[in-house]
Amino acid sequence: MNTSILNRLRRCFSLLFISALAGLSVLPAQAAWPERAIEIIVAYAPGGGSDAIARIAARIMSRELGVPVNVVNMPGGNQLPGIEAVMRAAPDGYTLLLETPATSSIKATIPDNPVDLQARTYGPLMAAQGALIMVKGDSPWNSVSDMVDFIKNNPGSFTYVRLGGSTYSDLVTQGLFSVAGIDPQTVKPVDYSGNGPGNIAVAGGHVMMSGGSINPLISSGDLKVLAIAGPERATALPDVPTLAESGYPVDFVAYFGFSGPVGLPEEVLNRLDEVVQKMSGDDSFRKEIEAIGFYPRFLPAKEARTYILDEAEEYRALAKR
Amino acid sequence: MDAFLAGILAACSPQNLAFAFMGCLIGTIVGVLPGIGAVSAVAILFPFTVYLPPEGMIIALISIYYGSMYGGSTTAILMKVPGEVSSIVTAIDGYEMTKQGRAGPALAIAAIASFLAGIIGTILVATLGPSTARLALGFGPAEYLGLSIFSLTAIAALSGRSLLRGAIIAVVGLILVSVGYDEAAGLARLTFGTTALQQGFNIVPVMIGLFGLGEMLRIYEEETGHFSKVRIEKLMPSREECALGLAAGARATALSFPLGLLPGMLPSVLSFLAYTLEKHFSKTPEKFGKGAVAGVAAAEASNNAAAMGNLLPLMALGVPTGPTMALILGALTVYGLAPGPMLFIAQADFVWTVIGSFFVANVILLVLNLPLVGVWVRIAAIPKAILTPAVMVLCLVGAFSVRNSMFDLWVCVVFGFLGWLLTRAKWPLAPLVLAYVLGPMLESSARQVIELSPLVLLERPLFWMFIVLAALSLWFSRRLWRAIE
Repeated sequence: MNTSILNRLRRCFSLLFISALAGLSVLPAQAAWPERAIEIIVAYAPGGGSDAIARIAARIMSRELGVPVNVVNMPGGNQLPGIEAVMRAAPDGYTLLLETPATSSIKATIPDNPVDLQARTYGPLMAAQGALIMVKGDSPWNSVSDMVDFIKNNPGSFTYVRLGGSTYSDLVTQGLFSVAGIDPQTVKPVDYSGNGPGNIAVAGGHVMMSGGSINPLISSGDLKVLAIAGPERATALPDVPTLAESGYPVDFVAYFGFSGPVGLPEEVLNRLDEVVQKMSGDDSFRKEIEAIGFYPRFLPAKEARTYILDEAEEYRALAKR
Repeated sequence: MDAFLAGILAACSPQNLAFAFMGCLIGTIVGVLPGIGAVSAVAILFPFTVYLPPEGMIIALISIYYGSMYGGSTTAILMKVPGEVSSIVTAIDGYEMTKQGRAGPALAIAAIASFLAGIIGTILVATLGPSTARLALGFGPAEYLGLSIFSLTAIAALSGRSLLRGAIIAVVGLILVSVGYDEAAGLARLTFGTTALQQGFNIVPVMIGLFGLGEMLRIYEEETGHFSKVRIEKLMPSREECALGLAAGARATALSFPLGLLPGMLPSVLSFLAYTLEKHFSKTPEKFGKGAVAGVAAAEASNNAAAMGNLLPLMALGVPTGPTMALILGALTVYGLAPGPMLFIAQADFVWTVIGSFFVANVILLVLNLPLVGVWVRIAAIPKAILTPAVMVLCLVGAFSVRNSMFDLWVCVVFGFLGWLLTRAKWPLAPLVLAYVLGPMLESSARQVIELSPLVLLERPLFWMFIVLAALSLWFSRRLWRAIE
């Protein structure tokens, strides 16, 4: 009788022990970010370049982090709905914003800037891109200067895609008009919620010019690329000159990264830095984003903050001039 | 055609086949539940498909949609408990046939007619899709403005018997969808200074509320249908019945697919129309309403052909023709697949897999449905005291889980009561949902037209064609309802 009680007790203890062990091995895993699906909010309509790179990154990060990483589009409204949604979310690393110039630095150019750029936790940057200047596939213009000549000779009849007025594409088109000496009053902006729908409108001949990234309408011949912004040509479009080479120096490039609400834990930022650094050094990531006109550019969270806030200052000064 | 075959093959991958099969099965189960129609089935189950990969989600939703239509017809024929409006027409002659002891042939004719219409519809979508998408590139701000005006007018005119009520509901929808940030400048509208309203009302909890929760409240009040014992002795229809049914089905398909391309021509409206026309031109109109095979076949074929027709404008233009299509549009955008010309150009593999899955789903349903009739009848007999609370919980869980938001849950509850009150008072719900999708399109295209120069409208004949169609839909709605009555 005694032995049987002892046996039972022993069994009880061993069970307890095993479950304790199991519990211990589970506990640290539970505490580490991420333990469930992460949402990346993209403040544009699907089909554009920001959306495309967010989806490529989401796929690779999901593999690295072992949890689903979902891209959610919240387009339009000058990116404010998307930014707001992330900044009001819990700072737990499960709701992140796809950081682009339009969600941060360019907002500094708006006179009553509704976005507080300081009140945000900036994560690492992963890539950069120069905007393309695109016109309809069968357009008579074969260079930026052809287009500029048309605008100067036909004031009031040139139309272009605008994404609310304070995105990277908008900055580049405004920059182009300014270096080309075009009076902004003589060109007509048409508002779209992203370069995705905007490019379709240009391909269909409804609007004359749009910015944006490499997309299938270029290879199908529906769109013609006249130039690319920034210091370098795109690997995937070796024959397309830069705006500077075309005689209109517009050097802005767009950065792409992640951010979250104020108070994002150090641990989340460190893990993000780690994953994004690994990803941007990855060959398959480079090839995939090069195909849509981006190139890898890693900047850890701390440096990203300085970079973005400095750029915001620069743009603000530019806009005042 | 090669792409279409490749799509069917891709749809037959074990994973996609599993999604199609589960969708068909669950859709049928939900469809046979008394009072739950196709729109409700898709709305209630939508949140649970969000976890699937993109193709999987669309395949599952389409299968659920088809499955619930089949399920609805089964209970309409056997028990005169139509799951939705379009099955009411099936029940007219279907239930008569059941009373005459011809339940088996009625079910078989319904299944075969639906199957053939579905297959023909799929082939038409596959043939017309790519060229329609090319044409869609020609759609600029003026055309989208005209199309959204036409769509809203048609939905308001056709979804209920009163144009005034339809119009009021559409305007309510337009007001609700403008809550939150505006499309271009980022101004907060109708938020009354609250942050919760800045994000606006998401379409998914709104739909689950209107069509899921609201329907459950309505069913709970209503009397249950006849649960008489059904014995099915003979399944296969006679040769003569087959010939009659197939001919009627073919005519209904030819009528309903092209009309299904137009906004407001919901499967429910078209099945009424097809049935009425079939009766009008029949040599034996006196048989209709007394168990005519042609009546069952016309209603069912029209239903499915219209559903396929509805898909084409959705995929090529991003314009939904009815509430279910509005949800499928939502599913596409969850995955960043912008419906419109780019879908066929940039995501061709995806499109063909989805079109292939329509084909596969139709085959699955034909195989699945008839042998399992006994099971469906038993499911339909579940007492509503058990059924309604269970589905209500499902609705609330679903509404919450799409964005893990308590706000969405409350939106679902409020719209649930709204939907219940509106259906009780015989007000249509479809205009509200369509206004949700078409409102932003109307606004941004109008803005773009003004930015380009309003004079651009004078150069766009398609815009004026849509305006004429909008006027025609008003005139037609009067005739339609008179014809049906």
